[in-house]
Amino acid sequence: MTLARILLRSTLRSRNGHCTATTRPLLACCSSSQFHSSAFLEKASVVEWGYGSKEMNIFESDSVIPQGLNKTQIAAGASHRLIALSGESESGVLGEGMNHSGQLGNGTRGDTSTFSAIDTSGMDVLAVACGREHSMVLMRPQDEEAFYLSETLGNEEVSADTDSAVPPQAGVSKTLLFGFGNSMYGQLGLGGSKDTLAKELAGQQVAGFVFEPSPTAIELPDPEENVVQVQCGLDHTIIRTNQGNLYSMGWGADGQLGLGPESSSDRAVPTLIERLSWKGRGKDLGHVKEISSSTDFTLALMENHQLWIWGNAEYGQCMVNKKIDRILEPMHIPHPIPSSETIASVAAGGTFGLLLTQSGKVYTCGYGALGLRRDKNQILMPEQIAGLEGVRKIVASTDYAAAITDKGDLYTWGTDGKTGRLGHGDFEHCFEPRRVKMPQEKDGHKAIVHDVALGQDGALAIVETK
Amino acid sequence: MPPRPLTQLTLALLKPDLTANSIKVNKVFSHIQQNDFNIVAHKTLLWSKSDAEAFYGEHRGKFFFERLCGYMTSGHFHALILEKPDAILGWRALIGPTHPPRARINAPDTLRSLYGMTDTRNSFHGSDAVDTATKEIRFFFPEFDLEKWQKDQKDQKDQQKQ
Repeated sequence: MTLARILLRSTLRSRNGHCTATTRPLLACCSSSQFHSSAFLEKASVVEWGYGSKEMNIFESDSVIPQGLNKTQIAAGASHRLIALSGESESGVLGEGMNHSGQLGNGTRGDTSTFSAIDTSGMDVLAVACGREHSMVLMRPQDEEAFYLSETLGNEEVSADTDSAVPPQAGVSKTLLFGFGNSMYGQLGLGGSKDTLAKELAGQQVAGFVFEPSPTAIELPDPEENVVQVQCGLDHTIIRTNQGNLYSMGWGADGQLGLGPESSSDRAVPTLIERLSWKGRGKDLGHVKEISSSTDFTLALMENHQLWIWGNAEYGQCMVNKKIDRILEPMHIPHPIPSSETIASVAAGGTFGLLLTQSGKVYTCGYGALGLRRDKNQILMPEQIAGLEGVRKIVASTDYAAAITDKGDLYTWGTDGKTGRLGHGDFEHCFEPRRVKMPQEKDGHKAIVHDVALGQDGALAIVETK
Repeated sequence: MPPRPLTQLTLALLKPDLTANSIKVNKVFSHIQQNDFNIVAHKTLLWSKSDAEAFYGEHRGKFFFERLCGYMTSGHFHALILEKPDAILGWRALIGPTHPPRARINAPDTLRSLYGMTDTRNSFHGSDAVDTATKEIRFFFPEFDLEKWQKDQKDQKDQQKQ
């Protein structure tokens, strides 16, 4: 891969149509050979693998990454990925891959694999998330007063309706969630989907394509609520707020939205998941600590360590000793692992789910190359994956999974499908966890993995080199 | 000169999740050519809900009907008439088992293993018998003169007998 300067006009847009546009060189990427001769050593980089290659690529952005390891955010979808980088003077979201639905967020669509960048100057990117063909970016203005002032001044069509330009209460840091890409099912939560399109056209059954190629602000029913976590399934989105509420939008046919026993229809705006939300029936359950979704089901972990699930569970990934075609409303899972273990984190894949215990062990349940043994591809209650100890983070995708240890070692396992997504330098399935060797290790450096994002065809990791 | 083997037609679909990725679509077309299928007709479609419900009407009432229709209306897709001796079985063998996650383990070289996504988003369709192939070809390609094609095949067969 050759050095490529990204020079793109990109916009951040709110729903009232206000745009801020800038043109500037933003981010750069380079190959591993350039990496070695540079001053980047002992710093962080983003390593990428998969997408039909056995090789690994290292992404560098000389002015950005070294300043904020914890400001770098990564996400991977079915055929695109996002890297959010923040520096002192500039910040942006680098996009790479297919842009068929505008999922790279640069305001355009196309049918070739491409690079792009969204300028996010003045914002801290807190999280990025990718679905099959849609993307979410969660941001917070670095200087809120200045940001909201410039929003007002920059808008030539300021009307009496200035709600969106009112700064939040002092001391409350308001986050902003932007979505872009495909919204055929309403997964962007912007009010449009193939269903609303059909209704708009005088009730006629006509087919149309629904997409939003520019980052567009998503509004929650209660503007006071702050989004603190966003997860994308393949064609749905789940939002968690600071007030202990969950919202969902997108495809609902398999119960992905968790909206109730009678509800499997798609939603095009963020819709309250009553069962688990503080302002719904979830008040007696405590707050949700974490949600995880990558494909067609969601795992939710409560602050009291209770476990909940909704969506597709036809491979027994629901951890209740049976297969359930679809779970339309969040279902409580009785503690499915030994009572001596406390669940610290969850990761929902496609045909399997993972649990991380406070003691650093990993349990898996469902179907696939589960990390157990070659001949053990289907289980209905979680079993511990041997060979994984001292794990601090787990991540799951449709067909494979990853664990990061306290030492910063990355392990992956699952099926490959000639993508190279497991990062083992081959196209083989891996039925037991195997450590991923980072390219920086070739020169005798120590590579510490801080985060990993798994997409359907490839993966990204944030790696510190010492 | 040996007699040309008689061919068969089948209806193939490259479904929306696959169609969204042009790189993968190109690879699938390479597979089709490498396996000696002749593409007799080809079109790209975008379905409304009623289109999908018409095609999958026989599955109405089954738990997967809703998600099948939801999936097939989620984007553009390719419909193809493929021709080859034993095209129906040949195409179904090439695409592999219905469920991509199972195909990846049990039939790793099939198209659903390589390019399929999930049980619902299984990326490919192939007619399962001669009568369904006929029905499906007529559904997607009403303009295609199936009778003429069948007559040509019959004439060829008769000539070979003589």
